[in-house]
Amino acid sequence: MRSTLRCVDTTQLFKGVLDLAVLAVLREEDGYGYDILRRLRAAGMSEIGDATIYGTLRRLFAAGYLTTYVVPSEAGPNRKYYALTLAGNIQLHHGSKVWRGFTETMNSLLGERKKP
Amino acid sequence: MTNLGTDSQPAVNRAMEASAYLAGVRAALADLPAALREDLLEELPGHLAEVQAEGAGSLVERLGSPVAYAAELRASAGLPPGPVPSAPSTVDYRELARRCDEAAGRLAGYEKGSDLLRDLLPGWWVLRGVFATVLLMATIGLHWYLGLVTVPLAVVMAMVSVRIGRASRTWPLPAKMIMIGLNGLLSLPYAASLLSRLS
Repeated sequence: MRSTLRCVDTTQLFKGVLDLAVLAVLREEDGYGYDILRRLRAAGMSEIGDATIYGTLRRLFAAGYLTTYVVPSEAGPNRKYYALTLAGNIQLHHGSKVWRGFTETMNSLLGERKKP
Repeated sequence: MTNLGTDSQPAVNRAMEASAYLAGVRAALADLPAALREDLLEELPGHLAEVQAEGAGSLVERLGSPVAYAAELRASAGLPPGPVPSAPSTVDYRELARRCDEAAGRLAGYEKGSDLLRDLLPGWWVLRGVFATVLLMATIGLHWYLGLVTVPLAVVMAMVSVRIGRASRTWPLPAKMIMIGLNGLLSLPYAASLLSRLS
C-alpha cells in the first residue's frame, strides 16, 4: 500500500510540473518528441513515460503555447519539431515565477518539519 | 525469403513489431473520432523506429503494452479515459430477462411477453372468481337447490374478483403480498386434488 501511495504522489507531482518542464526545454532549442523526452530524462526527469510527452505536447500545442514544423528525417518518417510561441514564452515566464514561490514555501515548510 | 540479405531479416521483424504495436495502440483508441485518433498517433511510427534503432529490448519492454501506452497518451493529452472493456464472465441478468420477455412476446404477436400477461389479467380475475365459487360449493355440499344459484353466484364472484384485481393495482406492497398469499391459499385445494389424482 505504501509503495502505491508513493508512486501516485510522484505521478501527481510530475503532472503539475511537466508542462513547465517541456516549455523550459524548448526555450533552449526547438525539438521533436523523442528529442524533448531525452533532454528531460537527461535533466533528471527519468520517470516520464514515452506516451506522456506526446500527450503533453499535443495539449500545449492546443493551448497555443507551441507551434510545429516538419523536418524530413534522413532515416524514417518526417519529424515534427516543436517551438515556443509568444504565448508559450509568457506562460513559461509566469510558470517559473509561480514555481519559485511554491518551492520557497515548500522548502521552508519541509525545513521546519525536519527540526526537532 | 532467400533473397533477403542477412541484415534484412531483423529489419523485417522490426517493421512487423512496430506495425503490430501501432495497431495495438490504434485499437485501444478506437472509441475516439478518426481525426483525433490519427492526430494522436501521428508521431508514433517515428518514435517506434527511433526506439527500435537504439536496440536493447522489445517495444513492449521499453514502452509498456500498447493498451498502457494508449491510456497514458489519453491521460497526458487531457482526454477522458477510454471505455473499460466489460468482463465477459459477468452476465447481465436484467438484459437477459428483457430478451426472454421479448422472445416470448414475439411468439404471441406481442412486443413483449409481459404485455400479453397484462392483457390476460382480467381473464385471470374472472377465473379466480369461478374457482372461488366452485370451492365454496364443494365445501358446503352440492344440494340440488344450491345448483340453481351456482351460475349467478359465479358471475357475482367473478365481478368481485375483477373489482379486487383492478383496485389492487394501486395498493401498497404489503397489501399486494397479502392478496398473493390469499390467491395461493385458494389454489391449494386444487393443487391437492390434482396431486391426489396423479398418485
